[in-house]
Amino acid sequence: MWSSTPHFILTDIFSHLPIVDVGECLIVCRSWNSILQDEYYWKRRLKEDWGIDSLRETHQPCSWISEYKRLHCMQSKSVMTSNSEFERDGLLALTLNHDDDEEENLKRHLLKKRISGNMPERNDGTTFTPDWIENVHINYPAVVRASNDFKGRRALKKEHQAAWLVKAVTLIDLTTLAGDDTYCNVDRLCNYAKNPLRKEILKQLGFDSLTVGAVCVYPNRVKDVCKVLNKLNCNIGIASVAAGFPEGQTPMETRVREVELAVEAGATEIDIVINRTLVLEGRWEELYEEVKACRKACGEAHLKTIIATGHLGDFENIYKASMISMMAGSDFIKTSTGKESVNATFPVAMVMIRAIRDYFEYTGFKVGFKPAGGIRTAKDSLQWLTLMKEELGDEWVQPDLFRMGASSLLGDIERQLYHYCTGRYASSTFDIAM
Amino acid sequence: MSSQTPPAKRPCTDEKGAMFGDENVTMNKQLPDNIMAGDEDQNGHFISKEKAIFQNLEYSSAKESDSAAMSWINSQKLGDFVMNKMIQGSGDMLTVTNRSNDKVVAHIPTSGGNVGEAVKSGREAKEAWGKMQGHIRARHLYSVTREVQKQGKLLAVMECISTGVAVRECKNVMLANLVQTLYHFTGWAELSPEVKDCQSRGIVAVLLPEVDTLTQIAQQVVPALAAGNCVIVSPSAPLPALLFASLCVTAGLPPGVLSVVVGDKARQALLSDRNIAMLSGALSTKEECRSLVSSLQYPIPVSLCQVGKSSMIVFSNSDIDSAVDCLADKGFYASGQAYDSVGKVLVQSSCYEKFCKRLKEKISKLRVGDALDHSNDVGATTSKNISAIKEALTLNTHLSQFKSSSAIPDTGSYHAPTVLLDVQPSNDIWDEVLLGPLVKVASFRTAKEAVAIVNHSKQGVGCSVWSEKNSLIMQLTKQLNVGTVWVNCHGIRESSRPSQYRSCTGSMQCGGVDLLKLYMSPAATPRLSFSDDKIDPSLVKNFGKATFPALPSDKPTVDPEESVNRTIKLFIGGALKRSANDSYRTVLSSTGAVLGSLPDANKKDIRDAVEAAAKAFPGWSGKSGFNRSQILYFLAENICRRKEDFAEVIAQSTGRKYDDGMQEVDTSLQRLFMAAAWADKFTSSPWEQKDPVGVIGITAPSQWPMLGLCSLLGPAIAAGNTVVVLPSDKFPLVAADLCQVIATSDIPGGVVNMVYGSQSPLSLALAQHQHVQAVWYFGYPEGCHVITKEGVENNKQVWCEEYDRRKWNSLVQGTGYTINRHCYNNKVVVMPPGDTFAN
Repeated sequence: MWSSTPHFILTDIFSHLPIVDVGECLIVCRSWNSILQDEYYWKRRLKEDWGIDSLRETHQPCSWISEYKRLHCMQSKSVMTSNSEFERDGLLALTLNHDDDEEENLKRHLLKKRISGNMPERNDGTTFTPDWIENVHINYPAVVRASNDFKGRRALKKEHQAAWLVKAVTLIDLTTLAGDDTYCNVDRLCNYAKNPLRKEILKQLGFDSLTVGAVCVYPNRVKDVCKVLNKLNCNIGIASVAAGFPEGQTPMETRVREVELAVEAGATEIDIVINRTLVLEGRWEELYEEVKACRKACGEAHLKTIIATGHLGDFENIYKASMISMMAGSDFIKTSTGKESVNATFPVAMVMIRAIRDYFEYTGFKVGFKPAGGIRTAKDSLQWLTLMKEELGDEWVQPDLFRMGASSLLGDIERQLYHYCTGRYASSTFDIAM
Repeated sequence: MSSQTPPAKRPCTDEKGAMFGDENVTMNKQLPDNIMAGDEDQNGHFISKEKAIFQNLEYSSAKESDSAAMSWINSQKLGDFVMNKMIQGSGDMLTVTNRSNDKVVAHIPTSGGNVGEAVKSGREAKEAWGKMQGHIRARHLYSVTREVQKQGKLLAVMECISTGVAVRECKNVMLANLVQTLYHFTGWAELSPEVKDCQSRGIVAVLLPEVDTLTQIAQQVVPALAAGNCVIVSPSAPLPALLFASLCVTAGLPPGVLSVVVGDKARQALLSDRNIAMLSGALSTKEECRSLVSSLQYPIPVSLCQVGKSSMIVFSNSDIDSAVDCLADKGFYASGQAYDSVGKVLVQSSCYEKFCKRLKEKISKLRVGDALDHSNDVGATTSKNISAIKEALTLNTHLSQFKSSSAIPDTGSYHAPTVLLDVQPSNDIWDEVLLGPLVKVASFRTAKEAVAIVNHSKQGVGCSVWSEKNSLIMQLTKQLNVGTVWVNCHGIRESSRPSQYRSCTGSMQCGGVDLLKLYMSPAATPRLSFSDDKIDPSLVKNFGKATFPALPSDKPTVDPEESVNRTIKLFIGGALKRSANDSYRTVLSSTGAVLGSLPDANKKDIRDAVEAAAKAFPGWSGKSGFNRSQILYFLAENICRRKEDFAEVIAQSTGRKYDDGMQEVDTSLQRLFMAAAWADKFTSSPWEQKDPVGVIGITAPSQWPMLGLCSLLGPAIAAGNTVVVLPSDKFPLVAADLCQVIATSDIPGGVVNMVYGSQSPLSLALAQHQHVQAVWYFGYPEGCHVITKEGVENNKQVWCEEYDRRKWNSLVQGTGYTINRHCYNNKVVVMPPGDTFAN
């Protein structure tokens, strides 16, 4: 029976085996052995067990299986599990990078893996559930009033303000989405993303280093970003807009392909736009299918779905579009492209936050939120953070569940922090990064 | 792979130069809430203040400075504010403490000795101020408005430290409302020529409650000033009122126009002063209202209001999240101690669970603490209110409750915002006014049930309705018996719109020209209800108690050869009924001739009549104005056909000439026409409705047996009320004839009920009947006093005048605003518009 089972099915079955049993299977028969020696199988295991999906070109030859063994052995040492199946192979190949701190890095990576049980599980989406978008009632004036009343309700002064501003920096998706973007200004942006605050300021505040949440560019510039970040040895998110950004008025095939190409180019986060036509015509199931297709095209890259609130006409549509996007497996929902006349506003955010809260209640998945467009001042950014804390809790004030799309915000934050640290108002010509 | 295609990386993967946020996740998981500045992290690194906050995401406090307020207090020799300066009394010290921290803020000497001085200055100022050209008075008020705006922060902080209400609310709600109201009434002062046929009353005494002082200054002091009165304020929390008064001086208000007297003794002295023309006030408890009215020494118009709380109805077809947000915000306004804060919430059972779950999450995040701190949602509560709440909660330990998880400060008088769930409206606690941060939640099945529960209450302040269904909303705005209906919002005040609380004696109003006119008397009939004589306590004591046995007349009542013996009966529920004690009283003409006999009714008949009127009320008030007008015209038509009979009876009873009687009948017809004309003109808009008051007990003036009665009865039923009338006990026969016409004029049974007998005991019985919503009394001065006092018991609206003051045959005095105004309660519907967004 086993001999007649197609290999790909066996591969599938084996990939679910605990690693201790794989050793046993290796010696069952020739056919199983060949499957378990196959690079494809190990590539898959590496991805599933360690979240690693590609190997870097290095000066030493390496294989997926050897890399797996190396990692496994590292883990055995660091977490003291008593499995030595693979320790006999002492070859340490390379995954991440080759420097003296490699061991240290790996340990941190493993630590992160270990706590990943506590990390928000990625939203897998659900089947299309029209019940969740029926009987939606949102009263516009009440939401607007509540969001106005909210402002100024929580205070952040002095060191609190400084600390929250630093937090805000780590939540920024530093964005450039212009026709004249070139390697040159993308390079500058990436450098800024890696070192968003001056060393003196960081030091004074008691921080070693920090980066923004991600860099966000058009698909054509993804390669540039990858190149610069590699050079900088910096592992922040590489976000690319895609799927017919900003209007979404292109054929589905090209939109999906655009997502695929961006991912292939190295994007780790994809910001897609939804098809507003489908919302305004009430074709929710089609919208669901489209977003789902994009999610599929994303693969491991995280999907942020821009619902372009400024085009949806009313709050109920905003809620419904948010809910559909989450059902289809978005990791984030995002307010706007930054190109509509109305962008990220508080009332809109309240509606989307409610959708996130409801979706969490229905499914247990935590979906992130990204306001974009119009967030320009440090004060604004603090209000966004307090809104998230008040409405959804501290978890949603972390980079894996909250980002702010902005380009000029960082400068204002830096200005405020400069003033906090020095007691002097900064000169925009030399105290603040360009 | 070439170097141009670096490998994809998962976001958040950690490498050297890792994203700070990721590390933070780790830290948060492992060291929840324990991160302290100055500690060391796992790697032995010092954690800075900023880094600790970065990780635990704590808020800071933002304390408003009270230094300006304290230095104002310390710079003043606080006392009574008379003749534009502080005068210190020599009596007991009133200690003002800050409820937020129990610290003593000020000592104010009180004596009550300065009241005479305050009244004297008011008397001197009132001529000039009352007669002042509207434009000049407007300039004065504008100046006050500007000063209040300039010193707004100081005023808000003063309110905050003396009442314990969160400074955010003092500033954003109360002060904003005060400024808006000042502008509104500055406008009315300017427009005083538009306010026709009214004049200022003279000196108005205003009593302010312990909390929400600025709102009540806006609600009472400002319109009273704009109407041209001099105002003497007796505040329960003196500091904001004293500061407001001194700002008025800065603004150049003439001396004597506004005085403030501090302390209980002063309040008592104020009530026994004959120069006070009107008493207006909002007080925390009914007991206070009752004792104040009892201690009044002169029969003056009273508008007293017990502070109550609003309600909320949430339907399952509403924006539930917004309802929850709004409740968490407005429900605890002024720590739940003001009209606009929410006491009762009704949630439709189909969304009850969802609502409560959301509310619990929301309430748990409310922050309680120092009222001066902007980041606190709820401030302090008076200790009296806290103990009342605690007592009520101990009686209801079987009910589940949840409260905010915020830490309560050690010092100060605080109560955590608390929500009591599954309260049955049959439980006593449901309708009890518990001032303080307590919200009671109950479920309901249908809209009809919700309305019934809200209306089944001693309170009728405001109610918000949460639903997205327009037809339902429109129906509810009509049916709810409250002063303000908020649709999908709560607690929005607009000083230009006439809302009227239903839990008041007199008519406690919140805005519009009706509020201005409350502090004015009709030019044609100034001081109608104002007697210079002190009330004789023995008369008060014996009012309505004297009974004269009904003895048979020693003269023949009828000549059987000429006519048939007539038995007049009471007119109750559309039928002629014998009186309960079945006794009769002989009616004599002015010359002493026997005119007939009338039943001598008692308390039981009043009970029956009120029941009949209450039963008829829903049907009658539910009829359209057009329908009621038709019926009134028809009544006039039928009276007209028997004109001569009526004239004859009037002439015989009163001893006046026949022509004179005919004149009265004709004028009465005119009154009925006028009432019919008004019937479809009271309510003109769905946003500003004029609801009928309910069952009105009318003690008709005795001198004009037909005209007085028709002038009152007509407008009352035209507006949709049902009435129990006590006709003139001197000349009652006209009323008996009138009943016959009423019975045959399509007026449904119970709309008009006539009870004959001695007016005094019967009017007392009417005033004591809890179901009578308003009493109009035209009789003895002591009667006015007793009736007003009784009215406090169930918050009746009381309109009392001495019997012989109004000239009913004059068009100005017998018709018009004053009479119509007593026929309805204003209701405002606030429904913020909006749905379109962006494109």
